[in-house]
Amino acid sequence: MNFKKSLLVVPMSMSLLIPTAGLANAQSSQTGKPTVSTPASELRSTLDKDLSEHAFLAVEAMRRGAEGAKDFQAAVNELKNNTDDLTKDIASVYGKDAGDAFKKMWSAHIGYFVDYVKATGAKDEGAKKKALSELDDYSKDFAAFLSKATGGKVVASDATKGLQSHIHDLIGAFDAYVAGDYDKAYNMERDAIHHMYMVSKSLSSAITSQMPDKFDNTKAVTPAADLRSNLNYLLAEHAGLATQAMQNGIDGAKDFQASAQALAENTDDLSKAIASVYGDEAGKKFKEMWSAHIGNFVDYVKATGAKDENKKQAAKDALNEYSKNFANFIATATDGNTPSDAVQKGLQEHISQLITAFDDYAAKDYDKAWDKIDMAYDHMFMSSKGIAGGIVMQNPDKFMMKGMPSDMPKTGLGGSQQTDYFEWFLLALVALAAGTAFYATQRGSKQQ
Amino acid sequence: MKKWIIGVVAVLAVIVMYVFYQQPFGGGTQAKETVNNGKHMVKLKQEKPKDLSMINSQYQSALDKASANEDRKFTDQSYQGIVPKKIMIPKIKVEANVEQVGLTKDGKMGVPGGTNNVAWYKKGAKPGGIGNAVIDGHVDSYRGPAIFFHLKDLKKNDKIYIFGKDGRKLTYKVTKIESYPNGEAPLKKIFGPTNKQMLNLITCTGTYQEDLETHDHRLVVYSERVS
Repeated sequence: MNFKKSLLVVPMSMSLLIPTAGLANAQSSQTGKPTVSTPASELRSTLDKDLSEHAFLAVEAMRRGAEGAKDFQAAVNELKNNTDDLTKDIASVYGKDAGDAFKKMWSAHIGYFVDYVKATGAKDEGAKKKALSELDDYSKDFAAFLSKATGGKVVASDATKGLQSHIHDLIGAFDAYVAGDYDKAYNMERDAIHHMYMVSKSLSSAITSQMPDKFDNTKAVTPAADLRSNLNYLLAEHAGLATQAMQNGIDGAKDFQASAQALAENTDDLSKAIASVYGDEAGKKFKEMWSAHIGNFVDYVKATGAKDENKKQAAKDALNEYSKNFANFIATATDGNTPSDAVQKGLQEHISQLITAFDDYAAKDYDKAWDKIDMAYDHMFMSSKGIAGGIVMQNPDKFMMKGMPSDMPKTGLGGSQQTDYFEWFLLALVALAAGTAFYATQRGSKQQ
Repeated sequence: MKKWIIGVVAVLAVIVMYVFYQQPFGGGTQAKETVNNGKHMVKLKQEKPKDLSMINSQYQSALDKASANEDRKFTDQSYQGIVPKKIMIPKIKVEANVEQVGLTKDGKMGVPGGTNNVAWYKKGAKPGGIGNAVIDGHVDSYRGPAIFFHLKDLKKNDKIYIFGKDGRKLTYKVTKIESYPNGEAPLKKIFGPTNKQMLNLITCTGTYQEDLETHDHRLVVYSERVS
């Protein structure tokens, strides 16, 4: 049943992707214009998606483990699906055996996190320590695996540090949640998600430098690819945090305020990203519209709680109106490079994913709810490509590689080759002094 | 005996019908099934509408707080490059402080102020990050040899070390040494994008041309990070 639906979903959300991708491809390497859709940038975005979703789902699953939530198993299942996606990514580059080896290690590390959650529940300090030490060993083993697979392009010591940081983020987010420090818990969740984008940046660069021909010799790190990846981060995080805030809202959960705070911080970051391209005025306008649409979702949650069908419909209507206005805003900002109808379709898809994920959760159909959450998360990577593509096409100059000097530095003054007149002058002085001394001694001896 | 059973069934039937009449297929009333001594019992639980009026104001206050907050700083530095402080190349006995330069007025990469220092091109990549990090140094001063005088003696696989402010040490291995006539150096290869973690050292080489006040070639040592 879900399969059929996902077939429906894909072509609709692709509509945001195709127009820009087609145009962007036409302008790629021949003209030398910057573009977001290069094979290397695609690889980076795929890894952005699957790695960051791992962090998001891991935090959420652990949190559900802590509170014994009814959708714990559904969240864990989604985390397992994500592991399968990552395994496919690895296998597509390094073959099935590497994929299998990856899956084994990756699943084991998720198991250690589960051990930590269980040990926390049982207040078993010994078991907690054991889980942490297993995770520490894993960070070294997995770093060695990555370094070996990439022929040393991923430096093992960097990967170890990166993995330890990932472990620190997840454990920290979980501990803070258990301790009731929700602000800290959500801050660390955001850190955990953000961190994965550095991993995908590093890993995609390593893979593309290892097999440049497979990726048309394109680069994973360019100003255009960076913009796309930044939008990947902020838009996907928006979708993920929005689903959680809505659930917390209907549950009247203690961490609702903190999850709304995380979502608001994300909005702030997105507005700044828009302002960095289109100026402060546009950033402000963006923030207004974006915050209002989250407000409509909040209204929908409230109406669901109150069982007020009219108000639910009113919230949906407002969201529909927003999708038109926001699509026009983006199309106007990008001079039509990101077409309005594509954005609107994408947004309606986004809205329907969040609403149904929430409705399913409220109806306690948790498997369905987490399926939709996954879709909503993945969907944002297409939106991001469409918007980033439009921005780059509109402003190619801003996304040219910057900071290239027009000439080499002048790193020599010639002193090791040049005839040095000063030395001749010194030599002459010495000779003069010697002559004078000789003359003086001659005279002196005559006088004696 | 039988009449008694019929009576019980009839009463139960009335209760079931009443319940069904009230709430056909749920919708406000939650039917909750629990297992009791192996028998299934139907337990009814009324779920009241929730008053969630506070969530609007909580969302608004979150927005206000987010606007007032300072930009968030990510603490994680594991994959970030470093600002280089010091360079060591044991093979040619180079140990020097690293200055920072940008572009000169005429668009060239800047050079270090001291002839015993080197300079990192701060508009390019950072060492330890992805991309071409570039460091230049003088081959000579007005008076004689300078810090990169012996750069041309480096061979493939020789090691170069970079130290950051935080004491982090990066190791690079020389991959190639090239000399280019003035104006013919491949700037994109030296400064442009790459998927690798490169460190490229530049100095002058060839013959000093007094009329042009510069050497006629540039030497580039390419190296890639190994640890």
